[in-house]
Amino acid sequence: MSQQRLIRVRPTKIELIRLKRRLSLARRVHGIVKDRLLILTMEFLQVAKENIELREELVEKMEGAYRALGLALGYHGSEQLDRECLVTGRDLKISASTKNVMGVRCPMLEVEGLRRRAAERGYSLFDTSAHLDEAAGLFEESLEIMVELGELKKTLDLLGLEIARTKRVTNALEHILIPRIMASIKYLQMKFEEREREEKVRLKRLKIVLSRR
Amino acid sequence: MTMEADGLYEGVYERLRKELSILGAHLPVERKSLRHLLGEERPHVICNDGTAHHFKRRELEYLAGILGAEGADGLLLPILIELTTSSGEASVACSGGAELKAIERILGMKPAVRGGKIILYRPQVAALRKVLRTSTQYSISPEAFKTG
Repeated sequence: MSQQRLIRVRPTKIELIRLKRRLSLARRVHGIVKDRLLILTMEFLQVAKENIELREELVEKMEGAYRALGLALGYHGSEQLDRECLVTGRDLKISASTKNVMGVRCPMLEVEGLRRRAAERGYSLFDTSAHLDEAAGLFEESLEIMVELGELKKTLDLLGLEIARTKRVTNALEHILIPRIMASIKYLQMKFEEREREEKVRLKRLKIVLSRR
Repeated sequence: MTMEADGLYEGVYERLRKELSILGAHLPVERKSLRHLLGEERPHVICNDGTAHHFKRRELEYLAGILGAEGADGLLLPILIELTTSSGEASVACSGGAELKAIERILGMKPAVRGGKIILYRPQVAALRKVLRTSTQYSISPEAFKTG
């Protein structure tokens, strides 16, 4: 059988008032933290859903890209394809910043100028086929999705951690702190009633003793 | 029945107060107009906790496309979605018509307006957040703070 724990306080009215105030604070915080937990969970589920959708889109795009690359490889041969691809290399500019979701600082990544037109990629349009254009376009789109997926994955991790932490706070309030404060209030009230009864008995006895004299 | 010293709980109450302060930490100190944000190199607002909340340019351009030049002045970002968890409703304060116009276009339907606030239901909030992930922020309804 679990043992009821109490907060050790002096049995005075002041302490009782203080405990009642604390109970009110704990209940209010419990309600608000529960609301926050609900919002975080809602956000978590949304991000998770979006994550799944993006993953599916990425697989689809990559499939298409590799299919087109295979066709381009068969059409041009590996030597020519390697030669054409040598000039397409470039540095990507990814700007990283943060967004704040209910107090959770999540990363935000943005790739700038990732998608290019066929003429901007650098390889010869006369010597290559449309398969290469298609493959390059799909790979660019895939890369964009990958960056977005990275952002979502990290957001999901951070939201998950915050949900776990908030849940611990809610549980601690619901199962430990609030019951203990309530039990302590009850204990103090019983103690005061007991004192009152003692006082009454004492007065009665005093009355009897005085009446005997 | 076992008793624990009251001093042990002081830290707990301090943590509770901290929990309350977290609730408003993500809200912006000052909201900025869409036009102002579009003019910034890295559009952002400063939150109550001193951190920066950045906006995705893609979202801002999308909103500018919906609202046009006039609406860009009237829309203050981030749009605050005030959630009332007990009723499952959310509301967005509608100071001008810009918020309503943007939300109407994103949801593809006219949402209810009650007392100067746009009333949204949870699936609508999810749809709105999907499109405007950085341009919207959640806030807890002040009613939640009143219940004791």
